This record gives sequence, C-alpha cells and structure tokens, in this order.
Amino acid sequence: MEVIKADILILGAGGAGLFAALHAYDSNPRLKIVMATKALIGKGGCSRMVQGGLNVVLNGKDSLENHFVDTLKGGGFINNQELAWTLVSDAPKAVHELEVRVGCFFDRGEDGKIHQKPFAGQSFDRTVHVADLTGIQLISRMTDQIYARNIQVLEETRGLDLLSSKGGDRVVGALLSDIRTGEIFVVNAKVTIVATGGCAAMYKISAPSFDKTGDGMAICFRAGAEFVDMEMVQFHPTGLVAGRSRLNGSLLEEGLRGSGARLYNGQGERFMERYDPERLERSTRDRVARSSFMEIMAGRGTKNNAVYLDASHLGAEFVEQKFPGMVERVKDIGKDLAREKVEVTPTAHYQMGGVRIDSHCRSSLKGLLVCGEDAGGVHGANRLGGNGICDSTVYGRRAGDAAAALAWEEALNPYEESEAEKMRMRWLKPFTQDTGENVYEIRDEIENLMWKKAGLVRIGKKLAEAGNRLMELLEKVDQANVADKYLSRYNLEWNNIIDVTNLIAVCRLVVNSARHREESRGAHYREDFPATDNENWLKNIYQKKGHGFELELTEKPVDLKRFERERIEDRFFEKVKKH
Amino acid sequence: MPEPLHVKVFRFNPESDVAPKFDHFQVPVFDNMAILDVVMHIQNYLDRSLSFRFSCRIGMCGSCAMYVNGRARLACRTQVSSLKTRDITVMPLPNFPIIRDLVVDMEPFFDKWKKIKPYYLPKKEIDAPVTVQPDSDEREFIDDMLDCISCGCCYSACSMVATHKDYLGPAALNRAYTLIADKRDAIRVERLKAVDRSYGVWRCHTQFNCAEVCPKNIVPTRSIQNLKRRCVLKKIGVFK
Amino acid sequence: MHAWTWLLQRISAVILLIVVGFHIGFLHFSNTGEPLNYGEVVTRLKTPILMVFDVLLLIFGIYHALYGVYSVFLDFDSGKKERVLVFALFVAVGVGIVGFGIFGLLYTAGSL
Repeated sequence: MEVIKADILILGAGGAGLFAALHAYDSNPRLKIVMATKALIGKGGCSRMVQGGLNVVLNGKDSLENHFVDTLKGGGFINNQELAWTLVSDAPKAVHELEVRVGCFFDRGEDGKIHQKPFAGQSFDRTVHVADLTGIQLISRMTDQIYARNIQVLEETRGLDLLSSKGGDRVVGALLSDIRTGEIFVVNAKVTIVATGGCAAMYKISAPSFDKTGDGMAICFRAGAEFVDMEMVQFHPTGLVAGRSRLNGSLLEEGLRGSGARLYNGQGERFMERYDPERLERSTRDRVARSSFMEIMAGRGTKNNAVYLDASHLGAEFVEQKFPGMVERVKDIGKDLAREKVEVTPTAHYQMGGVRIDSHCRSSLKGLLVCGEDAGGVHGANRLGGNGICDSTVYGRRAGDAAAALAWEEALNPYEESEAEKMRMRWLKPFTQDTGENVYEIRDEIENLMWKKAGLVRIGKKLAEAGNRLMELLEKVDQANVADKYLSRYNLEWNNIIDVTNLIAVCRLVVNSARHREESRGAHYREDFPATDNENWLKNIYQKKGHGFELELTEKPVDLKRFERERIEDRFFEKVKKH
Repeated sequence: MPEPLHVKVFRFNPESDVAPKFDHFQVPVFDNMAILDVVMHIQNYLDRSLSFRFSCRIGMCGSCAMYVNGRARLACRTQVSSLKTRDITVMPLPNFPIIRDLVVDMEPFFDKWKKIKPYYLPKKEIDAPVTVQPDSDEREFIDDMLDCISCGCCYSACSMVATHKDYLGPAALNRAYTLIADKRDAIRVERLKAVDRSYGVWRCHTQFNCAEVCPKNIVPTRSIQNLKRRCVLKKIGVFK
Repeated sequence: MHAWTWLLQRISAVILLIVVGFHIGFLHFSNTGEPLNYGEVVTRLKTPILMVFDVLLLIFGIYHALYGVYSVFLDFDSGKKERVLVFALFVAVGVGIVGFGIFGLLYTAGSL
C-alpha cells in the first residue's frame, strides 16, 4: 500500500474542511496538509448547497446573548452551552474573515452595509446571504483560496477508516481509497480532522446531496469515538415534492417563510394556527416540519401526501427578485412559485447529533478533531436555519487552528500495519464474491425503514423493530457484491456499498438513541411520550462502540452553566393541540 | 404506461477498452424526470457498471455536466420533457479527457482556472466589509457573474478551447473578470497581465457558445469583452 | 501587442463602415452616364476626396481581413517560430497589397 506522510489530514472539503485547511496552513505554512474529498473539491456535501445564509450578530441593536438564547431555545436547551456560546461569539469573526480575507461579497442593504434577512425562530434579522444561493459563493471563494496555498488536495478520494498507532492510543491518519482508480492507500498523519458532513441520505425524502452518507461519523464510530444525541435529526419543513425524481425533497429555503410565506393543508386551512399560533410559519423547523407531517398523517394533506407553501401573496415581483434560485427550481417541476402555491413535504435535512467535541473540536480520541455536521452538541435538539453554515465555518476555523498547534507539538506516530491491511481486505470483499446481495435494494430499504420507523414521529415499538432490521441489513450489506468485479476504476456500485455500510452504522446510533430518549424534545418526537420532560430529560445521550456490534450508551445531565435551569420556562416548549 | 425512453449511453474504460461504444437502454418515464434520474435508473437497476459523476442534484455543485442530445447540460437540471423526444443520447463532455464512461477529468479546466490566480487578495487598507450602495455601479455586473458553479459546460462548448489546448476558456476568464473588476482586490493589474496574452482573452471570437450552454445563464463573453477593453485601457494608462 | 491590434481591428471596423459607405455613395451619385466608359471612370477617380477614401478603404480593409485570418491561424496549435513566421508573412503580404493598390490607384488616375 502506498503511504503518504503528513502533518494534518483533513477528510472532507465543505465549509468546515476548507476553512480548517486554510486556518491550519495560515497558522503554520510549514505544515504538510493533505485534504481528501469524496467529490471534486468544493463540490460535495452541503455547504455548497446552502441557500438561506449564515446567522451572525453584526447590528448594534442585536447581541450575542440574543443569538445564544435563540440557539438554545431552538435547541430545546440540551445544547452544549460552551459550544453554542462559541458558535455565536465566533460567528462575527468568521463572517469578517469570509468577506475581508476570503473574498466573498454578501448582499448589501439600502445603507450599503451587509444585509441581514429574517429567518425562522430568531428574535432579530441576522442572516447574511448572497441572494438565495449563498453556498455557491462561500465555497467557491474558499476553494479559490486553497489554490493559493500549498495544500495537497486529493479529489474523489474517500476516507474508509481511521488508523490507530501501534499502541492503539491515538488516531494517526486514515485508510483512503481513490475513487478514480479504486486504489486503497494510507495517509499517516499527526492530526486527523474529520469534516465530511451529515447523514440525511438515510431517509427516503432528504434534502442534502446524495453523497452525505454519514461517512465521517461511521469512520469515527468504528474508531471508537464518543457520540452525543444522535436521535436529533432535523427535518426541514419545506422540501419540494417532485414524485420519483431526484429533485424530490430538495429545499425551498427558509427565507420564504421568514418573509411571510404561508402553509396550507389539503383542505385549505392555515394549519400552523393550531400548532404555534404565536409564531405561525416562522416557528422553528422542528415544529413546522412535524405539524406538516401530522396534517399529512391525519389525512389532511394533498393527494401527493404534502402540504402547500404559498408565497404568491407576497407579490410575484418580490418573490422573483428575492428568491430567483427557488423560483427557478420550482420551474423545473412546471410550477410558478411567485404566482401559485407549491406542494412541499418535510424532508430530512441535518444531523444535530454527532461526535462529542470540546470547543477546540477535540474528540474523545487523541489525534482526532471533528468539526461541522460530523460533530454534535452545538444545536441541541434542533438547529436554527442559518446556524448550520455558521457552525461549519466557526468550527472549521477552530479545528484548523487546533490542528496546527497539535501537529507542531506532536511527532508522527507509525500506524498499525496489520490493522490497516485487515481493513483493506474487508473493504475489498465485494470484489471477491461472484454472487451476493444487491446494494441498491438494501439502500432503498434503509431509506424506507428509517422514514417509517425512525422519522418525524417515533414510537418505541417501531424503533425496536428498526433496530433489529438494521442489524439484519448490516449482515446483508456484508454479503453485497459488485456486478463487475474486475472494474475498480470509478466503480459507483462499490462506493455505494461503502456508503450503505457507513449509513447503517449511523442509523443504528440514531435508532438506539431515539429508543432511549423517552420524551419529546425538538426534532425528536415520541408518540408514546409526547411531552417534554424537563424533570428527567434535560440530559444528553452519549454512545460509542461496545463489544462486537453492541452500542455502549450513557446519559448525563446537561451542563447549564451559562443559561441556568431557572430561566428555562414551560412556554419555550411545544404543546400540540388536538385537532 | 407511456412509451419508455430510448437511451443511448456512451461507454468507455480507457484502461481496458480499445474503443468507445454505445449501450442502449429502455428507461420508463415518470413525472419531473431529469437526465440524472435517467442515468441513475440505468445504473441502479439496469447496468450497475455505468459510471457518472453527480453530487447535489439541484444545480448548485456543477458535478453532473454531460453532453445530452448534442449539447452540454447539467444532468440534474435537464428535464426529460424539455428535450421533446423519446430518443436520448448521453455522452461525456467534449474537450475533456475521459476517466470512465460519462466521467471526465476536469483537471485541464481547473489548471486554467488556477492560472488566472483565482484567489482574492485584499488591499492592505481594507479591514472591514466595505460599504457599497446596492444601486451604485461599484460592482458593475460582477455579482451576476459570480454565480458560476464551474461545471465545465462552457469549456466543453467553446470552439477555441477545442482548437487550442492553451486557451484559458470562458469560465477561468469570467472568474478573472470578477476579480479584476473588484475594487477591493490588491493585484488587479497583475491579474490583468495574466489574461492579456494571446491564449488569454485575445482568443475569444465572441461566438457566445459559452453563454448558450451556461446552466446559470452567465454570459462569459461579456466578461471577456470587458477584460479586452481593460487591457487597452491599461495600455493607455487609464486602468491602474 | 494584442491589445493594440485588437483595438485597431475595432477602429478599422468603424472606419470601414464610413469609407465603404462613402465609396458606394460616391460612385452611385457621381455617375456621369450609362454606360460608363473608361475615361469617365478615370476622371472620377481623380477627385481627391475619393482618392483619399479609397486609400483608407484599402489600408483598413486589408488590415481588417488579414487580422481576421491571422486570428484564425492563432486559434490552432502552433509553435512560437511558426507564429513569428506567419506574422511576418502576413505583414509582408499586407504591405505588398496596400503598396500595389496605392500604386495602381495613382497610376490609373494618371498621377504617376
């Protein structure tokens, strides 16, 4: 196996990965940095797909405290408060850097200053943006900055597993595969940053790119890292309904609701009046998504199992000018967003849970830093729109700085070669079997299983069934084979087998954690425990790999040091009215 | 059941195949079907060995550009119904080396992108986001041109790229324009020098092929003409 | 250099519009009779203003055409040596044609 030696290895090249690379390099240009991405640089993952924008406190009338409290309220108060505070207090620095050093140009308001638009769940208009397709600019400009620096980029190269040192006490790089050739090789590094993004592809209807199969999380899981609150999966309320097309589930951005777009059920009722009469459609994502889902489940949806999003009363000209990207997307399915109502459905969007980190992105394993969607704790039980790319940039910067410091202190430890060889053989297994399972059938089944049994509305019994079925699917995918076993070059099927293997690992974490949390909070709703239970469940659930295929689960009360228990009021929580 | 699509797909593995060939597939049609749905259907259910590249599926990442029925397009944003025919031919983008089947090597494209120094470098005195009135002409038409998703459609459609391997091509030049016209940038003159070469802006014959295929409706020709004008202004000392 | 030659190409285009227009207009309106005979053509050619415009037409027309053809040549892969050679050839051809044209005009008009 080929071995590349490096100071820092970064898996993932979205907002978090790119910013980590830039910061690590700028902290110390003498470091050798290798960045690997499953896609072409800057093209994979979701930072590029960011539509709405980035939440940041820039206006004198706003305050960090406001942003912080909004983030906690949105997150059902189980956020890691240190991480949430770091998020809001670092955000202005990240935006400053993006605009002044990286070269982005955010939309300006009437006064010539950076414009901030309204987003749901926020007490102040604080979302900076570039029209309604912000991510293109953010990621393109960061990628351009990578070109100015001596950073080795391995495109279409995916991480397979983390490697441990001979003593097994730290992470010393990763086993990777070059998708273009099918070659498996090693990057031996002092520090490894995992920033590959989330896992929403586990659901039938999902918003992110299809490459978000929880690779980073699965890799960290297999290496033994500890996870937090994996049951918290966000569903975005307004995914486009496009039948069997891949466009199905793609987002219509939150700014639409922020600007006053309304939701109606199939009977023409503005149903949010029943679920959150105060904030209506501008309620947080978890509530709006679940409300829509419940309307649909109660048979009050449209005939395509959806609800209507109506922006036409805002004025066609306004919608076309403010949301050109959304208008164009809807046009692809033959509808006119500016002039008629459009069918939308909740769509799997974001994983709030993830690898447990501290405010310097350090995980429970030595030598392993995690940032972006792979990390958990920042957003608690629900993420606010606009806090996602905020998280990626803030923690990407921090991971880069921390990695540079660590890499400078540490010596390069050799990796355990026999372990690497074993991993390699395991990943090559699909090529060695003449017959076997079809990975696409397994993938379809996971998507349906998770949607039905571990989706927006959960119930203990079904979660248990899902957990059992996932174990069976794990065995099934182990028997998967590739149709053409002499073809390792750009073999999509083989990569799908890796994707699905990773996906199942993450699904199991989600399902197990969801079973354990016997209450409803934020994105996690248990039909059998519909109330929020602050007495017993102001807690975080931690999981890691146990013996064999077991999951080790522990729970710990949330550390409420910045926003005390006394300040948490009942009115912050959802009360579902019966129809 | 409506009549299925007759899809002809380009197949080539440079490692083992002597010559490329076409495979034929019958693909059932459904509502809102895009070309990406077509190739995914083939790959998932008809021939698992087919290769193509994609990521975001909603026209934001620029990974899935292909040559469909004689024209470079994003597979995800090309509705089957818009082609107005049941016969579909899918090929890799022209002007690029082929990795396998529909996957091309974007390296030449990004090498040229790098040549124009695509990274922004702020002037020393700028330490805060600049104030720009939205209705001022400070930004010229930069913001319209920044929508580029580097999908390579323009590059594959440009006949100057086809005839000369060194020509920078529409996307790189468009990126150069967005930096050179950005008054915040510190090395605009240096950038302009990098494109003021025979195989920089001067090869553009204003054929507008790039603009015709751009999935983001950018008109790189306009940026290139603007760069040519600036080259002249630089010569007479007006552009500094 | 490209900037200048390109600019000159643009300028020559504008000048050509004017001089071609003048040339056609002048010939149309200064017809002395139908059919024309050689003597009348020579007489007309002796008008100084037409002479000036025709020389301009010749110079800019040839420049415009040769620049266009040379750009097409540049569109294809070629070595530096070939480029210089072809450039010199185009200059020689251009100067030759313009020289010969001016000589012809003056000769016909009887100035030489």
